This record gives sequence, structure tokens and C-alpha cells, in this order.
Amino acid sequence: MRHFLIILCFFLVSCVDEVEFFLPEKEKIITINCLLNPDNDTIKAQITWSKLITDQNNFNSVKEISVSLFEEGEFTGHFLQSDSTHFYLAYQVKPGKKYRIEASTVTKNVWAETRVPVDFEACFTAIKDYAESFDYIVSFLKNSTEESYYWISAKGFTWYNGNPFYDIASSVYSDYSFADDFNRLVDQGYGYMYNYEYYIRLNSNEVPTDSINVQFHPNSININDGTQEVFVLSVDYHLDKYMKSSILLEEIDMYAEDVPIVYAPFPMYSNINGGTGIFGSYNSVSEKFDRK
Amino acid sequence: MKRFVQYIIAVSHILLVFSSFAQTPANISGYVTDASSGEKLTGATIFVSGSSKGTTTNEFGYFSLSLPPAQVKIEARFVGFEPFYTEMKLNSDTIVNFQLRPGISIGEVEIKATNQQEFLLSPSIGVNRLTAREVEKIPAVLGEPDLLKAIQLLPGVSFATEGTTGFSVRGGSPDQTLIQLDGVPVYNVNHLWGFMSAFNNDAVYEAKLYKGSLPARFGGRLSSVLDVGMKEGNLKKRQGTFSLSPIAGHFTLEGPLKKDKASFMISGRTTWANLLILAYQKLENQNNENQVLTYGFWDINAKTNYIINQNNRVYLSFYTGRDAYMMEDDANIHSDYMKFSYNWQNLTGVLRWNHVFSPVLFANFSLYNSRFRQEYLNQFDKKGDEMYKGYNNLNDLSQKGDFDWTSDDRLKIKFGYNISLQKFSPEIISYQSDSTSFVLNKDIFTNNLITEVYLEADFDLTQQLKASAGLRAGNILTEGKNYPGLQPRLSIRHLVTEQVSTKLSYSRMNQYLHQVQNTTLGIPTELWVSSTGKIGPGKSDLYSAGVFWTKGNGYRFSSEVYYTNLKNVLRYKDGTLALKERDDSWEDFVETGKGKSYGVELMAEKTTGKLTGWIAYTLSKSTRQFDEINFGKEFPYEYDRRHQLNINTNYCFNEILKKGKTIKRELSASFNYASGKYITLAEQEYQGIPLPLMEGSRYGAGWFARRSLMNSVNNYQMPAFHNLNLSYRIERQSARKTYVWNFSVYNVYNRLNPWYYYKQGDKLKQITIFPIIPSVSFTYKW
Repeated sequence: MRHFLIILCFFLVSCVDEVEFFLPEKEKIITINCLLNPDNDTIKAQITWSKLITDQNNFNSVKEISVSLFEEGEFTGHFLQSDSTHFYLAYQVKPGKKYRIEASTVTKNVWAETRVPVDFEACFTAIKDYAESFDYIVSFLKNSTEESYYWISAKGFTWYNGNPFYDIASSVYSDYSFADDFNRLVDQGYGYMYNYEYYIRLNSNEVPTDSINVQFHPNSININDGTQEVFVLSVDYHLDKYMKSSILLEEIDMYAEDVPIVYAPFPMYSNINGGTGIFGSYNSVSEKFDRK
Repeated sequence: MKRFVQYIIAVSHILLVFSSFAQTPANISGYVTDASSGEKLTGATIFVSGSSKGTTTNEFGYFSLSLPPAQVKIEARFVGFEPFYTEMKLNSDTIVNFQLRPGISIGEVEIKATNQQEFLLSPSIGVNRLTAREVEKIPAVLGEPDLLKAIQLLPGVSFATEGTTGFSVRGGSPDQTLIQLDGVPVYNVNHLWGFMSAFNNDAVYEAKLYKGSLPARFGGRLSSVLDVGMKEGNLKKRQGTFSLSPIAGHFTLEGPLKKDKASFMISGRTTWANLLILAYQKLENQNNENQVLTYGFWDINAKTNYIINQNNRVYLSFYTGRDAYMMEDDANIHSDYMKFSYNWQNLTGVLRWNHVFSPVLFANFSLYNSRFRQEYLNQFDKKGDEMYKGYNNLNDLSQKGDFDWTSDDRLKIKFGYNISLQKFSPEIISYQSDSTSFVLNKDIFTNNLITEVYLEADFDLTQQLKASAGLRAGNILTEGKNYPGLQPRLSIRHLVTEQVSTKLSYSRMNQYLHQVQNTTLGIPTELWVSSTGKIGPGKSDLYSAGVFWTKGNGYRFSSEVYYTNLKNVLRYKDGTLALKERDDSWEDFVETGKGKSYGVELMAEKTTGKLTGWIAYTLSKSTRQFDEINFGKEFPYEYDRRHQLNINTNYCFNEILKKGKTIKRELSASFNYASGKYITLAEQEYQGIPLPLMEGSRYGAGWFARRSLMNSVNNYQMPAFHNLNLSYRIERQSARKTYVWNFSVYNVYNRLNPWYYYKQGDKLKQITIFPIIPSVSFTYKW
């Protein structure tokens, strides 16, 4: 599509003026990033200031800020600032409980809430496909009491430029028809119809059956051998929206420099009142498979 | 079919009833035509000298005027033509065909007559008219006259980005303007990715934009109607035009097939962009000869008409145009081969039959077909064994009848019907490789049956009060679901003094089809889709009021206010890309929402004399709201421009006679100012975190670590747009031929208006693609 631009520019005017453009200073806002998971006994929060988009420096820490956690409206504890941007609280959140984070400086107050998804069980089965690589079937019962959001994928080792990475699958192939199509491409591979970017997302309200059985192939991890870890995440409403808008925006952002004229960005989801970022929670079930 | 038969019976019945009423003893009817070419003159005035009794010709040049039996002096006038007088004793119905001779001197009486009829006396509000000749004089980029860019200089019309043809009328989206050529909707009006319009100015006679009160005879769009008429073809003599501009060439030929009975007009246009691109590639790609880029477009307009007798005339019009873009990269390695092509094509054809049932009842029957097809192809090997192809099709087959009935000079009635069969086949995708091939969405097409009838009446309430009331009733049957709708229209004029009138209007509109697009640049990657069982037709309510004032010597002033409510407008969901390889219905990728817009328009015009032109100012606001976009909050519409000022002038120097040639020289200037366009732009960024399971991943790690901060869709307003354009035109006319040279300079003071922004590393870059651009174009007429 770059060529398209060249063509436009050429025969319309034979010259294109490209000039540097300066944005005016804007008021900075507080960013809170904190994900709760009942498997962790310490909660980590990242709190920084936003900055101008052209500023290549690191994000500045927020000085003299008090950060607190509340469980079902009861004060749980203050976060401790361990280094410039990270805050920790030794506490293990409980599935099904509602949490609130509050951060205050002299002039600003920001807050957000999340409810940790309830525990669930899942069964994983590995099957070999025709190419001698593994496919998986994940089976679980959906939450029958409220709308739930499930994200399915796998992790494994890859090598890139001689270095090992413990990566999420870059894409997941599947035929499962009740999955959200927001990150789906028609791209046949490994005997499947669809290619999902990073995860398969399910909204329990859009799955007509109580039992969920998804067969899939995680792509581009452990091409030869090694361990693969297969996951199902149950995420809260806010984290679900954050993840979905993140993946959509990542795809759109590819066009920002490559084909800027078709670049149509949109605001990223955030549930931080008075600031930005995400305060979300998730519960997960996983199993490791040794492909040797 | 049953419904169709019912309509035919109903219409026939109405015809019989009106015919029986039509026996008025003293009626003057006939056609007004250009004496030099025999072509119709639309909007010419015919009136009784020294009285206020008069009428105007309809779009086919026909008029009918009922008068009490008496000795009368009748005058026929049209701007740019010498007036014609005739005196007669009127005892019974009389047919008079006026042939007006082109003339350059325009007297005050004539100005008064034409101005009053159209501008002051008619209840219509928000109607602008542009002739091809006026468009020709407006300074244009690369000397290529463009009707759709000229439209953007009118009040209430805003543009998307500089140099493109996409426009919004009173806050509506581009698809909410019905653009029709000889009464046929044209679904894609772009060439060259939207930088040129599909209308070849040499083939166009005139265009009328209706944006305030929309007469009941128009329907199918929410905001406005742009009614473009093609030239008919000279009935007297053969003539031709050949013109060259730096970007395109045109050739038009017209003349009689049988003198004063039948004529033809054919006009073609093509670009030589391809030659320029090839030359550019030779220079730039010396080391990469395997890469080929091509871009071309062409269009053809053709029309013929035959006057069977005084009461019957037929027209056959045809338009087609095609754009083709192709990029091929053949690295001589099988696996690296890549070809991308993107083409689109319009094809319209219409057969029209004018029939005068009686002097007071004129009818026009049309049968038309309009097709639009987009096609995109990704080919991954040279033989085409592996390829991906998508296309969008729209086919509209319609039959309509329009009737004009004139009871007396105080009551005019128009009525008619329209039956349309539309087929939409959006996003049909076929994929082929060594191992597999399949077609997606082949079942996702929509067939619609649209049936509509209308009735509109212009009548005098008192000497000062005149009204136009109408009703359009219709139904769309789509996917087994009916969407019936009543669309009332009303406009009232109060004549305050002989020179001042005030007007009010209300129009309810329905739109049965939608256009979704994910860029706002007016480039034709948009998708036409139908209303379906799930997505209903769009609806709008348009309210307008205005004051109109004419002054001697061709001055006229208007001030209009408007408010528009839009319902059921469509927009792609966040993150949806055009030309995506999706297998689901487009319905899953759109949101339905609402919009509103309001504003004030001021216009001052000088229509006669050496110096002519207009000044137009618009103060407006336009917003959209969708439950699932921008977190449900209202946001500025992409075409929202708070202030817009357009000054367009033309100065005609004294004619010079030299060696038997008449030399005419004209200087034109246009100054344009508009508040900055709204775009979604991240001004700040904030720290992000990897999504669960993504910690340590190399995929997207950098991107997920920092996020763009945007509070709202269209959060950023670009700097104001302004430019000054000049053109100098010399016309050398001899008895048999005319040469025209047009020298123009676009953006005289080289204002670097931003076209778009993008981020590159730690810098934001502004792209300007229309700096100062001088150009020369040449036209030869014989």
C-alpha cells in the first residue's frame, strides 16, 4: 500500500511536503495497571504519568502517591512503592470477591473496581495431527450464573535471532464456531478454517451449550519439540474489554506508519476513573504437555 | 408483481381523472429550447407581461400556463439568453414553442424575472444550481473542472480532505446525498481514489443541489439530492470539444442524427496517469525492474434523443466508468510473487419517454439500471494457483413515472411512482490454493423490492403566502421484512415585500441503503449495503428556515438556518478494516447510531455584470452517537467544520475583435477557509502491560508496553484549512472553431494544509499533498 501513496502523491502534485508537526503540551494523567489473580500471593501495580506521544523517555513515576486496596468495601492494605513505578501489596485475592483500588496525590484521586472471576475447572487433551504436531481439546463447563469471558491459548518456547523466548502462540487455528470473530481471519491451516490472533475469545452468552469443547492448534511455538502449556483464562468484564481493544488496536496500529491514510484508531478501553490504564482480574486453568 | 399491477392500475386511474379535468379553455403550453442547439432550457420563465402570472419550465423544458381568455403578451426568459416576446389572442388551448437565442447582455427585467421565480417566489429553500459553464470557470487543481469540487464551495457543503470529491451536506454523510445522473442514481462518483469525480464536465449540462426542502419527488437519501443532467446533443449542427489537462484528456462529439428531430452526444475521458507512473518507475526503480505499478481510469457518457412529435419524445442515456489499480512484484522467486489489484466500475443506462397527455398533464416514464462493482485481488503466484479475490456488487433496476399537472397558475401538482429491484452482494470472497478453494459469503446477498408513490402540490394560500406540500409513501421489502414509511414534506413562503421573502420547510426522509467506510478521506473503499431484516432504513427530519432578498443589478442575499436529526446511521465497529478477509456478514461489523447537525448559512451572490460570483459562509456543528463506539458518548462527525467561508469570483474583461476572431478573457479567483477537520489522534501515550500469558513474549511486546491515549473518537481538530486559487482563461473564437487556454495556480500562497498525520519514531509528521500547483489546460471546440 505504500506504492499506492507514491502513486497518489506523484501524479497529483509530483511533490509531497512532509513536515514535522509539534503538539502542544497537555496535562498529564495518572496511569494505573494492575491485574488481580487468585494464584498470586502478592499484588503488583504499575503507576506512572502519561507523556507526549513524541517523548521517547521512560514514563515518569508518580511521586507522593498513596495507593490502597479494598475488598468488598473493606480496607485491605496500602501498597508499598518498591522502585520508581512499581507498587506491591502482599495479599492473595479471592475468587468471586469485588476489589477497589484507590490512588491519591495532593491534587488527584483515581480509582477503579473489579470482581475476580470464580474458580472453574477445565480438562485438556492432546491429539497429534497429520503433521505430527500437537492439537488440543479443551473442555469446561461455562459459568451458569453470570456472563463470563474466556480466553484460550497456549505458550511454548521459540527461538528468535538465536535467543529463546517463552511465547504465547502468535495465532491459534480452530473451527470452533461460537468464538468471537474480532481477531479471526479466514486462513486455512492445520486442517482448520480459521486463524485467531493470540487467543480464542468466548463470551458465555454467545455459546448455546453448557459444556464448551474447543479443539485448536497453537501456531509458531515449539516447532520441533519441548513443552507447551495450554491455558483457559476467565477474565472480568473490564479486563475482557481491555484485552479485546488491545488486540484490535495492535492490528490497527500496524497501519499507523505503513499505510497512515487508512489508519483509523479508536480510544482504548480503560476502567480507571480520573486516569487511565486497567484494573482487572482473571482466573486461569492450565496444563503442560511435553511434546517429546 | 401483484403490488406492481396495483400501482399501474392506480396510476392509470389517476391519469384518467386528471385528463378529464384537463379541458381548460385557455392554456398555453410547449417547450422552451436553445435556438442554437435545440436543447431544452430547464427553469426558463414564461410569464404574462405586466402581471405576476407565470411559470417555469420543468426538467424537460416543458411548461403549461393557464390563463383567462384575453389578448396577452407572453415573455420567455432564461439567464444568458435573449428574451422572446409573443402576443396573441387566447381563446383556447395553444401550443407555443419558444426558441431563445443565446445573448450576452442581461437586462434588469430579466434578472428580476428569473431571480424572483426561482429564488424569491418559489417555496423551495436551500436549492443551488450550477451549470457546466460555471464549473468550468472555477479554478481547479491541475486545470481539471470538477462538478463535485465546485459543489463544495456552496454553503452547507463541507469536504472531507483537500482535493477529494467526498462531501457532506448539512452534516449528513456522503452516502446521504442522492447523486443522480439523468435521474439515475450513481453509486460511486469517484475516479483516482476520490481525487476526481466521475462526472465529465464536458458531458454535463447542469446540476442542482437540494439541501433544505426536499420535494416529495425525491427520496431514498437522508440529507440532500444532487441532480445532474447530461447534455442532450445539438439538434441543429454537429460540434465537438477536445481538451487536455495535465492529468486527463476529454473528447466530446454531438450533433443531429436527423435535424431538429434526433440528436446524439458522446463524451469520453481518460487519464494518462499510467504514462506518468511508468516514467516515474523507470526513474525510481532502476534496480527493481520486477515491480510494476499501474493506475488508469476512463469514462464514457452517451445520450441520444428523438422527438417523435409534439407530444412524445424519447431519451436514451448511458454512462460507464472504470478505475483500475494494479501492483505486481515479481521477484523471480515463485514464493515471493505478489500481485494486488483494485478496480471499480459504474454502469448506468436509462430510457425515458416524455408524453404530453394533455396540455396540462405532462409525464415522464423512466426505466433504468445502475450497477456498481468493486473488485480486489491478491495473487500469490504468477499462474494464479493461489489467490484471494473479493468483490462487492450492487444492481438497481427501476421503473418510475413522474407527472406534472397544472390546474391554473395557482396550483401545480406533481405525482408519480417508483419501483426498484435492488440486489446487493457485499464481500463475496473466493480463495484458491493448491490444496483448496472455497467461496465465502456467496449466500450473503440481499434482494430488495422498493415501492414508492408521491404527490406534491405547489399552491397559493394568499397573495403573499405560497406553500408546497407533499407526501412520499413507500415500503421496502427486504429479507422477508417490510419497512413501510410515510415521508411528509412541507415548505411555506411568505412574500414580505417585492424583494424579500421568508421561507420555512420540513422534510422527513428515509434511506433504504447504507454506505460504511473506515476512512474519511473519500477514497472509494466503502461498502454499499442494504437495509436488512436486522438493520432498518435510516430516517431523518430536516428543518430549515430562511430569509431571501434580491436587489437590482443581479444581487441576491440569503440567510438560512437548519436542524437535522438522523436515525439508524451506520458505522464500522472499532478496529474493522476495509477489504478485510472476513467470512461473516458485514452486519456483524457495523453499529447503528444516530446523529444531529445544525447551522447557519449566509450567501451573497452577484449573478450579472462583468464581475460575478458569490460569498458563502456556514457556521455549523455535526455529531454522531453509537452505543458501542466511543463508550456510547457523542463525538464530532468527521465532516464537522465549525466555520466555512468560500469566496468565488469571476471577472470578464472586455471582448476584443482581432483578425475576425473574438477574444474573451476571464480572471477567476476562489478563496476557501474551513475550520480544521476532526480526526482521532493520540496526543499522549501511557504505560501499558502485557496481556495475561504475554509476559516475556516477543510478539507485540513493544506495542503492549505503551499505549496511545485518546479520550474520544475524533478528539483532535487539525489546523484550519485555507487557500487561494486563481485562473486566467483566454478564449479565441472564430466562426467555426474556438481555442481556450486556461492557466491556473492552485494554492497561490503555498499554504501547507495538512492532509493527514502519522508518527515516525519520536516525530509526528504532517503530510501536505497540495502545495502551490501551476497548470495549463487547453480546449479546442469546433
